Amino acid sequence: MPREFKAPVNVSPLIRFGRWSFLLLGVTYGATRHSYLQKKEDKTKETRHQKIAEREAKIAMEKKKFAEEEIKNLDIIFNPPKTVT
Amino acid sequence: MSGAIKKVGLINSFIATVKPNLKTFVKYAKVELTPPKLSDLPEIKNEISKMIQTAQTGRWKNITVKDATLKSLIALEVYMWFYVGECIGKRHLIGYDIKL
Repeated sequence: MPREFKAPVNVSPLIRFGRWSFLLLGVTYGATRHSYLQKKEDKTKETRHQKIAEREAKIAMEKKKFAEEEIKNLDIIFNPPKTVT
Repeated sequence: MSGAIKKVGLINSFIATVKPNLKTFVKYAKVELTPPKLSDLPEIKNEISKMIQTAQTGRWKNITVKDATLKSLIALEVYMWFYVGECIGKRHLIGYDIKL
């Protein structure tokens, strides 16, 4: 059972027209703006992904180098070169 | 087991409260939110010309504060429908969902 309130008011046709036209205007605006922004990002997509890949490769290389050096230093600490006494 | 029964009860009570409220919403929306018909066009034109007249003749200076507040609130509501439409158009609630 729907609750009983005041009887529905006849809203002025101008207001209803305004509501619906603004709604449709907003839908078209949102869709066109979304596609515009998406296209803008798609243009720079390749360069961005390339940059990210380069950066990650560089970081991985540095990490590897650092690990190797660390192992070398540890090796020196744990197996000190024999010194002549 | 009792948790499942509780959940079913919760869902049932949720449906029981939502259904009548939805019915009242539909009842009012059918009258107050219907899109304008083609037969309403002359009246819309008439109202727009009336609005332009009140703006031109300076009759808007004689509108009471209460009326003016009411009308500006209605204008704000109508304007906000644009943003509802934008959210529908971009198919995302917050911001634009761009695939990077």
